[in-house]
Amino acid sequence: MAGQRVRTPAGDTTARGQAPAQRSASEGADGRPEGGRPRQCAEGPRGPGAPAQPFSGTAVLLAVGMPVAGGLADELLGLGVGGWGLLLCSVLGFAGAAGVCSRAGWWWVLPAPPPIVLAVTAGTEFLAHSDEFRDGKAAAAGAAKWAIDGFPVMLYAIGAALLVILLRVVRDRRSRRG
Amino acid sequence: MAEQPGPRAARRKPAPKPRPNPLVLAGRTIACATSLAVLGTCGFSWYAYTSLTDGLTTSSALDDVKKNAPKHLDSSVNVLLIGLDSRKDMNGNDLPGQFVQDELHAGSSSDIGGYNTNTLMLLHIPANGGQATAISIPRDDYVQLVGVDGRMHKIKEAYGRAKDIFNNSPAAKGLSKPDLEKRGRDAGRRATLATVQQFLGVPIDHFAEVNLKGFYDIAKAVGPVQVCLKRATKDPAIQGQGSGADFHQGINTLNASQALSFVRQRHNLVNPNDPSDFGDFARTHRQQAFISSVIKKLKDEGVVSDLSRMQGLFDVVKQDVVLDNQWNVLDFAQQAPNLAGGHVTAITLPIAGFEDVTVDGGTKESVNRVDPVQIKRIVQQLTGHDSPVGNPLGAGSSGAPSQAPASQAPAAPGAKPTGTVDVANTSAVNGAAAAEMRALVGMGFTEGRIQTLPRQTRTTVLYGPGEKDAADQVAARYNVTAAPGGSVRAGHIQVALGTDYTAPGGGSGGQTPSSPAGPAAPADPNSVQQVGPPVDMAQGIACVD
Repeated sequence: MAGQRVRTPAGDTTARGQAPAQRSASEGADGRPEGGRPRQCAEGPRGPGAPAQPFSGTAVLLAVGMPVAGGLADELLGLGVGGWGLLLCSVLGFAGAAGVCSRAGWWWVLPAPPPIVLAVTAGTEFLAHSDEFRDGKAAAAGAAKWAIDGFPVMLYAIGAALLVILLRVVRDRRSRRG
Repeated sequence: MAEQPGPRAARRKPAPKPRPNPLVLAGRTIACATSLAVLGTCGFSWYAYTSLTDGLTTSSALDDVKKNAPKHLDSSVNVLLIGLDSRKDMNGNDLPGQFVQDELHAGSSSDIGGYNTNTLMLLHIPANGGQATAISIPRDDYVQLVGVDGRMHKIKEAYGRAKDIFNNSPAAKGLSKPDLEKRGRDAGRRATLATVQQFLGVPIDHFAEVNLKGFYDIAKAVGPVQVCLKRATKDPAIQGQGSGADFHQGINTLNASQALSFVRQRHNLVNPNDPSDFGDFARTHRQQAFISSVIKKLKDEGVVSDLSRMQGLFDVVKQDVVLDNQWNVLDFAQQAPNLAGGHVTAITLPIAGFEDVTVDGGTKESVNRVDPVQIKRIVQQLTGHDSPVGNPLGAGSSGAPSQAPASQAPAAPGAKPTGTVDVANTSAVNGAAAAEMRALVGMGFTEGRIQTLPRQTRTTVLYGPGEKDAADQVAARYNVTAAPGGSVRAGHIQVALGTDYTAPGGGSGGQTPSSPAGPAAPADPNSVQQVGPPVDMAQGIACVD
């Protein structure tokens, strides 16, 4: 049908017969950057006609798994809410996710740190100290603690992801000019 | 965001701009909105908290004291509130004489009062965040000071004596006046914290110190506070003595200056129903009642949930209150959710009598004679703490005073519990011997044998040669007196649980035996020995003498 759009498995839509829109302009037709280095993006093998995905299991693992691991490490090592474990793992995880996902995936990676970090701090604290949150007032105080201690981690994680995205944009532009 | 082809690519290969799927657009919008909402909420909370707590005056004095603290068996929290009777500011400068005389009613000289800790109150917050207990320590209790000279003095003098020792030490040479004051006060705090920790036999997790001006400023920031008096009273301020109190029977509304008089009055103050509850002792009830009234006022006016008013209060706290450097306000709020509701019962520790002792310079002064074993037992009952006695001491405690009266000397000062305990259960409580054995081993005793003995009605503690002090510690746990046992081997202590023994939490006879798996349930504050009646802060405005 003329004008019909094709929905990719990831939900993005491309015009019929076009290369996936998520592919960088700097990429060659074989899915490699113009520089020839194999792209480490997690979009998977993308030969002509291959479906484009904004992010893959690797990106999800980095963006979710790393903060979870960091939060658990904090609890196990007694570093408290928003400790070094969560901070380092979140920064590395979101930076990595921004590095391996497609441009379309950036829409998801950039907003992800606040809810994920909050969920991880709340989840790990609740798992480790569930008995302390039975009282409503204590739970409210605990929630405030998660928010306050998690905020700097969120900022650093967003900053790390932004930095990686900026580096990728600059690199792409340079390779296009070159 | 960046999924469109770049301008150069577009020029090379003009292509129709792909239109994103509306579902994807909606998903992105929701993700971004959620993210911004979470980030904004967390950011606002972080900003509010940071601006509230930045600039608090903190001290590391508790660090060393914690190293020698008895172990916590649960996540309960003990906070020592220290009221310092000093007329100097944080830098050691005298407060203006006129202010001291007219507003504080504390004489005209800044030398009066020295650095006595006239208020010492331990706030115990149980692990479940339930009903807290405030325990006031009479300031003239005659105890062994830790971190000072190891000798017996009034407990209120630990701070000033340790500060003086530091000021005269080589470490003080070359320090500027503010630095000297700061480090001298830290030495004073260390001594006070270590002494109270040893005296009560419970670990101190946090402390808060306020001086006269700090109290005045806080009372001013809180605003007029209502208190209730059972009878009219006066205590004119004359030449540094007297508090300037002039109150009528019933509800009194106090400004900051009157509030200070209210908590400082000790003359013309007696509980007619309990002659032992007078002067200093009755004053501790005033202090407890005032805290109760302040909590009620803060609660009624919604100050706790009003950020701007909390900010105003914290601004005062930042100026005049010293907290330990490990105090996290958020952690504390989580541990003590019921404090703001006034779920606190306050008691004053008893004394064994009065005594005149010879102090420095050969002069005599009256002190409160106390029984450290009894005090530890009472505190143990109130807190459900498992390690009431024999806790390791802080620095400077090794020199136990040889001239200390036997009745006042702490049980085995400076020593870890020694001896092997053998336990026999003749009570009807199943597993009591094993549970008690675990508890005693948790206190530091060596595990012996579970024995079988004939049934007996009372719990007894017998000791072999060389274990009298250790046996006293064990006996204190069961509210009995240790006795030498002819059949008990040297180095052993034999505990025989009688039919009067009840399971942990049973509270029979004031006992709170418990296992290391968790402390016993704290006793009802009404049931322990104390001076005067307890003050129930849940009442809000508690009527006192």
